[in-house]
Amino acid sequence: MSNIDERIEVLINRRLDGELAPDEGQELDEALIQNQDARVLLDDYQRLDDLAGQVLQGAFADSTRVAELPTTSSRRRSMDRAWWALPFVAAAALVLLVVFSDQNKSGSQIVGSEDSVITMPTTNSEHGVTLQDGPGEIRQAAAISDSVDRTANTNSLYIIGNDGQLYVIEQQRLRTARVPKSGIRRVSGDF
Amino acid sequence: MAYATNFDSDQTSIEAIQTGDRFAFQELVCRHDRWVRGVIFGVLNDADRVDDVAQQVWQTVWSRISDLRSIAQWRPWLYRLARNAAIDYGRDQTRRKKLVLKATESPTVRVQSTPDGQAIQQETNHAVMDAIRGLPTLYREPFVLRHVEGWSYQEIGETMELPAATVETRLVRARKLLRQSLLNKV
Repeated sequence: MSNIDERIEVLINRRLDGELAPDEGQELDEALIQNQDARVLLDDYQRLDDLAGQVLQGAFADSTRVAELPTTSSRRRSMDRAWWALPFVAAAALVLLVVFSDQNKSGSQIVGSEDSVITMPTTNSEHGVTLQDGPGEIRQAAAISDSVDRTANTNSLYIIGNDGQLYVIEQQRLRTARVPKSGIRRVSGDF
Repeated sequence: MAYATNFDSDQTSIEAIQTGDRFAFQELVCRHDRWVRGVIFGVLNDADRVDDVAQQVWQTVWSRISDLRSIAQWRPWLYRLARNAAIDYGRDQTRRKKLVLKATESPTVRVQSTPDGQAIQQETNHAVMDAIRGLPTLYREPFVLRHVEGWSYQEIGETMELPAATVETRLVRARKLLRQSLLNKV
């Protein structure tokens, strides 16, 4: 039976595992000087650790070769399994499209070379939108409330008619969108 | 407690694997295969069967990694996968042995065939491996993790979801049992 205090045995284990605190190291060193059994135990454990490390690391040195993996990870496959949701998504998209197309008023005008508006129906007169400027201009519409952002886009095409006159064909789009009070939305280049 | 730095980079790899990155997966296997095999051995107590189970574990990791909610907890997750796979494999083997009554004995330690000069070393390795196999599973698991990867009590505890003090106690007992088992043998 060895004459080794349980505390000393714990400290020996900690030293071998690299877990020994500095003050514990001093305590262990003093014990090792005084107790030969403790020194023998440390030597035995040290040898045991060396052998065990060598044997175990040798046994598990070869890395597993993972072959025959499925072509996709489970996340991709779970997306594939979501096919059943596709009709619902399509239906929701359709509803959104109808709702927003009602909110977006648009119209076009054919504008003369200067001020004379020729014809073309327009549905946005209620907002007081009259756009006669150059191509691609973006202007704020007149009627703007706190929670609604209305933005007009204008696209202009210049053509020369049979009568030799320069005509400007303007297409304008008025977008309406609800925005938070602090938010600022701009719509541009959406033709 | 956070893992060491190399485990932080593992979290990036886990995220990449979740998007289907095979290279990241291969890297993860290379980095952690050894201790995973150590866990399997710790439970299964049969070095010859470790390869089969490890292969199965990594395939499970690939197919189920999106189930991993907390990436920071990937290591205990992998530990549980490996441990459960080893337990299941052990049960299957026991069932088969009962049915077929097949007893096979094969070398337990991978030692290179060498000339007579290293015969003693080979014998010693066998003795050590047998002694490790003779440990109760409770003590064998942390002992293997400690000696395969050199992990601290804290790291082993986080992986096995045990307090570090418990890990230390089990390692102390494992060493004591091994010493008794190997007395006059090595």
